[in-house]
Amino acid sequence: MPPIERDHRITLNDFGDYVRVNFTKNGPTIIWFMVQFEVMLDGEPKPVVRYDSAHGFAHRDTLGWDGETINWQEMHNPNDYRAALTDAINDLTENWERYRSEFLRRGSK
Amino acid sequence: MKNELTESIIAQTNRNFALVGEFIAELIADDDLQSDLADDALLILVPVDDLSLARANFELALRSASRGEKTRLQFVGRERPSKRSCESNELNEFGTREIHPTFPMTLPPGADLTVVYDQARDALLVDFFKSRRVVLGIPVSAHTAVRIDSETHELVGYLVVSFLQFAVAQSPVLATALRRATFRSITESELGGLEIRNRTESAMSDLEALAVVSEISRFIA
Repeated sequence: MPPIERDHRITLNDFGDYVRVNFTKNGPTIIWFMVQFEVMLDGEPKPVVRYDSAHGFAHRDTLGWDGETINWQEMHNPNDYRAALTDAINDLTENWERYRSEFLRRGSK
Repeated sequence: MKNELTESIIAQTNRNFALVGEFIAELIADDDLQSDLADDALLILVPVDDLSLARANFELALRSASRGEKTRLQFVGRERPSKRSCESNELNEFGTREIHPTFPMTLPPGADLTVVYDQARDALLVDFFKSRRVVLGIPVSAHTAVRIDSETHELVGYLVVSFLQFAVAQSPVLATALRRATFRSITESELGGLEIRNRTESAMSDLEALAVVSEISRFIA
């Protein structure tokens, strides 16, 4: 069976904030992934934090107001993308509020 | 909308992130799931085991669709059918533009019509199927909600709150519904995730009492 790609934007709240989940799997194995939390400001989506396997290992990018990476950190499971995908959602579940408020604070400077 | 996080927004977002985790696990485990779903649609997840979040997300989807956004609802946590999805009549996701609560294809027998009046909440519930169906309640105005079957999208009934205080005052003929009504509490499952916030004042105010006495006197005369 050829690899299957999934790419979904999932709405989270009344602001229109959403999480974009994009991954390619081959059977049960995740061979590439990207999870991005975006906030909706004045009808425009702004990416806040991104987890992906670009550059060959799983890491988290903290993003600036214009989408630039201002900080990055290797994830706990850098080579197990299935575990990293789960870790990404768990990290967002625990910290989205802080990531969101820090992003807005950066933007308002 | 202001970008201030309220407690309800925080709670909804927390629960939705947890739901995203469940959805991804389902996506990874099942190659058939979502295979025909357009990537550009906004997905709104509907948990099968959390009626209040299901209702909140359903409303979110309706607002999103009403703004013209391509929106899809996706059930999460539902047991997968044993046969392939193409052979099954069950739906796991559907576009909100396709949701138009419809009257049942076949009219239920009159004996199945249930009318309940909950005095403590001043709420009238109408159910076409003797409260047998699992329903999702969707508010359509400040005082009324439709109750639909989450599987078939058929209209199962209605809920009217502030029934005597508001609805009957606006349309007195509605009071005849009480002739058919059973007087009891409306159950949580009958509410289908709806919450009735404002309870009726238990005591009649002096002004209301005077108005009633005056009206009865006029009726006698």
